[in-house]
Amino acid sequence: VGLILPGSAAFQFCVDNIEVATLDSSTGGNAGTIVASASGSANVDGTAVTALTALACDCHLLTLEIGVSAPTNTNDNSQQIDVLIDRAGGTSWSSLIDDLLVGFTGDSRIVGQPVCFYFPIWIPAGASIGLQTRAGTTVQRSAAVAMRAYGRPTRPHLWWCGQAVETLGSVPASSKGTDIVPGASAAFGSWTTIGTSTRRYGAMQLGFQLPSTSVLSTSSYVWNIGYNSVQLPGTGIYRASGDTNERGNRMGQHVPTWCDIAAGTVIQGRVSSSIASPQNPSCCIYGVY
Amino acid sequence: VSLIVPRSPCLTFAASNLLSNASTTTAVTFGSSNADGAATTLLSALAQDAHMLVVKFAGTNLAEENNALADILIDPAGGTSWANFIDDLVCGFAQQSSTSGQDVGIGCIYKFPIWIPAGASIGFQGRRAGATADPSGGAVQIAVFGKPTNPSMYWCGQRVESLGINAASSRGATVTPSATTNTFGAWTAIGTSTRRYGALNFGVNGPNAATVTVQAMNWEIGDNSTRRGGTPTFRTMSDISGTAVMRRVGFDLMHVDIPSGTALQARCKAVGTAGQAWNAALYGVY
Repeated sequence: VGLILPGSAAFQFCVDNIEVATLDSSTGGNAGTIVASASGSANVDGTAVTALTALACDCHLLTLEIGVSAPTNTNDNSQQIDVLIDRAGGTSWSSLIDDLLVGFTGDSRIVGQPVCFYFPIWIPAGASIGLQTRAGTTVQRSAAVAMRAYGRPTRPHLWWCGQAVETLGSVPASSKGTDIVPGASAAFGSWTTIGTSTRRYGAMQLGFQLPSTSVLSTSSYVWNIGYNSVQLPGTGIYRASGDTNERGNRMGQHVPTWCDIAAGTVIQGRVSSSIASPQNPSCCIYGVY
Repeated sequence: VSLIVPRSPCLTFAASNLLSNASTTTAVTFGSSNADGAATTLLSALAQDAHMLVVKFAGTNLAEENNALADILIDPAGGTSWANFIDDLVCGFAQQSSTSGQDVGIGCIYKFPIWIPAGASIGFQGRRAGATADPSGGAVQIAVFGKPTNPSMYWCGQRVESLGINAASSRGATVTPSATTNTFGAWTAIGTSTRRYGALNFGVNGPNAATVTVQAMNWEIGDNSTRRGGTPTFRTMSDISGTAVMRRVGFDLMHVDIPSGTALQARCKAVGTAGQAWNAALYGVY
């Protein structure tokens, strides 16, 4: 008798917004859907755009890679993106995932689309997925969003996904997250409350953004997620670095953070900075339930 | 009776070399002229079993042919007596950030749901095609995750099979876009699985040349000259900042069920009519 080994979830469906009939021929190009903030108004959503139209199958994993237009060192380059849904497949949008932090990533065509999010979330067949964005400056800012929706798992019992996402710590009026005072010179600062879960999370993502100042110091920042002033096991380490051009690299957002966080958990963050006089970066938690 | 809802795998262990602000990842040396450089320790003596490995490479973008291969090494005893673990990850033309330390920035990323025993150390060795020695040019970020609370909800393999590798040239299998702009070229064999894969990674190395044409390219993987269901479109954009740099979008870990004996293929399309020959590889987890 042979040993029966369990297999993987094995998705058989994937749709993305990367494949296009005509590739962008400009230097570097962009991948995915372009979405822009309101022109002339800070912290105001721009026009919603469609990223995926009328999914052919149920989706159980949504992945995003995002880069924003070239930052300027005289503006607040904070920026948020909402993922929208119309279950009827049109453009009557309602919220699906709120306030993803995406600012300070630099010109998406030059430094890539380094902001990554992985949401194991169920989206019904027939739904369309949209995007809208707001920025901390009156200068209209755009983002390139590459999106993939995976579904039809061969072994659905081996794939957990939620049905909604709770955003903690967002300050949409400033297009940023909860400010955290970092420790200086590579020391960690104090644990700071980001928010309290109202649902039991099975997966989680951290969104983080450089300080929402118009003149950014060159510095690196490292984030930890925790509760009860202890790092949450299995959450890894997240890092961003920025310079006076306000371009930030990000590392650590590479896979879904599978977790089991009870409703009512006070989730915290702490940050260390590489410089002696750091500015305050911000972050949000996105809990899938 | 309440409805019993299954929970997520809930990984409760993580280890990373992304620890400090000064030099955030591990500096490594890629060997030149298609010879491996020195082995470097990335993670020492894991405290727990790991079930997911994420690795990102950068610093392979000199002004010459930058096709590159990276090996992930293991010493189960926690030392530096290295054995091969994951072979020949293509990672050429990946830029290191200049912001500070060894930032991997828009580097080349792979994700492997793979079991690594507690106590093992993980190492790196790599090679580049170009002849220039670059002793401080490479950087590797690595993270591992493990200790699932619900292991029955999480699949991982124990090995990785690399397909399409031409180690003597630090390349993968050559894939050429159509000479007609925005038109996919022919499906090209990458290799045939000899195991049943539960997960798959795709890697694009770069052009088989010392210079990179400015171009955006889309890639697909398939078999029987048909795109495989459940796989995304992959995008590469080359020479975007002037010095042999390529960025990659859409290179997700793919959860698959690919039988042993499957002849896997890739194809690509590009802007312009003078498409270069490129090279790519596949990595099956079993």
